[in-house]
Amino acid sequence: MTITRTTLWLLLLPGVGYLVLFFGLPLVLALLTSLGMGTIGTNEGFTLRHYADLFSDSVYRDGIRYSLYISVAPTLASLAVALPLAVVLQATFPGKKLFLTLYKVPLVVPGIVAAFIVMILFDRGGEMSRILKPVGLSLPKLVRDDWSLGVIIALAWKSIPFMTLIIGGALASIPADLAAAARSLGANRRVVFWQIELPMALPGITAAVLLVFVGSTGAFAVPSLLGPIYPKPLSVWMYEAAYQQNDWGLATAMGIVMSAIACAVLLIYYRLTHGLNRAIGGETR
Amino acid sequence: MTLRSLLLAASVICAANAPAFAFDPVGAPDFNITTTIDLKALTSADFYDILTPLAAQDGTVVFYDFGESEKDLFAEIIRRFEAKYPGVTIDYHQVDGEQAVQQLIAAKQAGQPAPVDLFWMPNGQVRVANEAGVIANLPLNTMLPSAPDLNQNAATVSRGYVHNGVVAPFHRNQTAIAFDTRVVAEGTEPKSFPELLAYAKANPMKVALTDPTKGGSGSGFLETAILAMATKECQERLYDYTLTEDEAKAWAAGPCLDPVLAYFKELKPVVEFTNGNSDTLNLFTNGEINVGTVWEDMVFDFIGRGLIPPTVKARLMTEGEVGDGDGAMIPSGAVHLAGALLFMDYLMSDEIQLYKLSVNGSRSARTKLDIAKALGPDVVARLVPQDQYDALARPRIVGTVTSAAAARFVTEILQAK
Repeated sequence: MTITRTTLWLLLLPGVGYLVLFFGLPLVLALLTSLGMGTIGTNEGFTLRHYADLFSDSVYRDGIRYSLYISVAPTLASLAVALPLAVVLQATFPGKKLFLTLYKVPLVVPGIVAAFIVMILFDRGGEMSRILKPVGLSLPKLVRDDWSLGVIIALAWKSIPFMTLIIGGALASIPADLAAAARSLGANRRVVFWQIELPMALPGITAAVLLVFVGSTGAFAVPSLLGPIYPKPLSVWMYEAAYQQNDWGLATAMGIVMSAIACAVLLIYYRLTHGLNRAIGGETR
Repeated sequence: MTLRSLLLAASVICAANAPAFAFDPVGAPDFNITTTIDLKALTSADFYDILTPLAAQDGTVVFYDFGESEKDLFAEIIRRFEAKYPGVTIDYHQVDGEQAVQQLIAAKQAGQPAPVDLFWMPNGQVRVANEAGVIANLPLNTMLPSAPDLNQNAATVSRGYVHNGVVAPFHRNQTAIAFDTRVVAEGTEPKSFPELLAYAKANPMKVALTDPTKGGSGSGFLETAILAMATKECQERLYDYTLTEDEAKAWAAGPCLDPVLAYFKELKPVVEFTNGNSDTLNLFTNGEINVGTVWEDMVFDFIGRGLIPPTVKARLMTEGEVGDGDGAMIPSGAVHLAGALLFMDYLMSDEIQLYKLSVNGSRSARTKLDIAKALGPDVVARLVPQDQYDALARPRIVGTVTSAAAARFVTEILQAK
């Protein structure tokens, strides 16, 4: 049966149409607004003023750096926990069914609730401080701290089950025969993991890392509640520009820059993982 | 005579004569709201006679409440209003104030009627909303029969922005310094800026300052510091409502702000900067701070709800502290104007203003209101002492100066390592 070009386009229409309408169009409108030609806010004609304001102001530059920091750090922290967890969950152990249910709880907890949990537990005078105080121990500052440890904890806590699910899925899709064959040829468990399972799971790991990174880039509630008063992430400045100053040109310029950063990181990451995949002997799927 | 005094005098004269005259639109020859009511012929004398039947005919008034903890207060106010005006129903919605302003702007840009008839809105949004033309230019500072005695600064200025009366000062609040009497005995608390600095140095991280860039009590503290430390010459511009944004930036960039920033530089290493008013109060609850910047009504409310210990007291700095409030307005696209005006009038009445004070600790802009009626001992204990309020409460300075000062605060205090 041959599919005509028209049929092909019709089949693609729902998916492509959805992307164009709900992703492409808003992105184009945001880009136009950031260039002074938008439909929201003041239409002032073509200008690069909003981008100039964004990059010339050290406060916003700090915001960009801070947004990157609170995206990268929770992603790495999540990966450090999710990868071994996903490997462990491939095995069978007593209570696995219960654990599989419980570890997913953070998935359904909204970010703002996660922030409040961290605040209640780890803020000065919080629950953990009260538990540790009688035994003469104290926590380092975890809320409003310069390193944003509370922000990293909250974002990573939210992301770990999500990442584990994706990586676990990727690991589970590797045929068990491959590992068995390698073991029969003398490879130990570590070699099987590093040279067979990890390269084959790399597309899943990449996807998980990227999704968590992008999700963290736009985090708003968590850094607003748990982060230091300065710097603030770009998402918070974006909200202030739009809702407090009614400066949609600047707000959309920030949005475009955040999107561009996410895309750039995506490209860099693909390049790195491609190289890594080749280095550890696997083929890119 | 300063512009502020002229404004005050003119408004008082208008208010005193209001019952005899019809109302003029604010800042334009015509009202910017479409209605069948002849607003130019409406007077205080026939306000209720004309509006009550029209409101009953319309039936509903859509009301937006931007507050986070006033739901119960408004439930009772609405119950009383609906009992007083049978046939008029209030359709209540709790909203995010900033998003609701954007909703109104979007509706206006799309040529659609406003989704709301009366909006109790955040004061920081009045400039944005008024400049976008979404506030009806009704002279609410003079036209409400129930509120002939409004403090005209409160009724015409919001967060240092002159709106000339289109927003009614429904809710007043006052920035203050709170202290926990479990640790700081009453009478020994820091009462002035030098005392606060000395206390913070002697008790590192036991003083919390709310982020001065976010517009809460921290911003009020920054303004209070400016009022306390700027020279007399510098202070002349602080209530000059004709100040342009560029002039405000020039003021903040100059030497006027230097003593304030020098004070904060000393304070920064020994205090905790928090992310908001609730964040500061939460540290009181956790017993981690002894002194902090607060809003008086929030302390009142949080003690009442058991969220902070009753040992926390609020007071005003001896140099004076700024206060402000959030007002209610009628959008220019409102479709149920008669009911909205009646409800607005009711919100500003003796009954509701006193009730609000007793429930939420929110002060009133009504100058002849018998506050003593509402002040039971339990209310008094949770408020700033009345003598301090009478002597030390100050209006907020020009908003553009605050914004410019906050920007310099960020670069010189927060960015500095």
